[in-house]
Amino acid sequence: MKNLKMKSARAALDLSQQQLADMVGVSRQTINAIEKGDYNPTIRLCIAICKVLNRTLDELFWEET
Amino acid sequence: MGVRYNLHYVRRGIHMTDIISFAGAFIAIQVFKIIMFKKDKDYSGYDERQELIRGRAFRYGFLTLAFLLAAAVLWEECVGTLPIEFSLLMMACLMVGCLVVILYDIWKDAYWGIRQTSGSNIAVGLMVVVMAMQYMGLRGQIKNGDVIVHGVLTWDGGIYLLILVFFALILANLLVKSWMDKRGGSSE
Repeated sequence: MKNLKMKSARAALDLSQQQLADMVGVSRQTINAIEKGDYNPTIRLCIAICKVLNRTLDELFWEET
Repeated sequence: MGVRYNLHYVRRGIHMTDIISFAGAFIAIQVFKIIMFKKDKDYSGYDERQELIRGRAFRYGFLTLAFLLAAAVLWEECVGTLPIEFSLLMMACLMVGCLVVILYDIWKDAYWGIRQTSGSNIAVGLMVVVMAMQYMGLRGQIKNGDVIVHGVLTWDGGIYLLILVFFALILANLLVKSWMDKRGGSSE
């Protein structure tokens, strides 16, 4: 499932995938894979992304049923 | 009879200079990796997704290698001798196994590390140099008529061809992947 919440949070801060990737220490393709729902990140990476995007884990990674 | 025939080719095929060349190439790759990641000794150069992909690639590569080696040995022992020196056949199996690892990494975006943008240009340049050297070697062997002797692809000529094809395939896949990425295959 696509992570549109993360994509919109990133876009709200006007960050490119590459910029976000550099800030959390991963490759651009990994950010792309997370946003497309092709890869489930570890909790460590989730927290790093949340800190950079100023969001909580729930806001970015909790899936509504 | 078959076993004796194969061992004969193993002894004849691999020379001391070949072993030294491969050992030299292996050491050169390790030195290259150390230089590239010297800033952070604990840092592997790949992120968590890439590590996962690379682990999977190594598993597929190992399984491919094991299957090919078993198939090659079984074929030689049960069906008949292939028109290729046994040592070269073993090397070809090894290289196909390596190719599986590398191509899987390339297509899953796990070949280049995170900080490897400048290193990638050097690596591609080195590949082109190695290919040019192999091509020159192959031409020399063709001129001497040492590539195929009595209908058998020999180690002396075949190894140049094998390495040339190996790097050509890697380079072609890298180029196609980078072209596809630029066209929007993994767009933002």
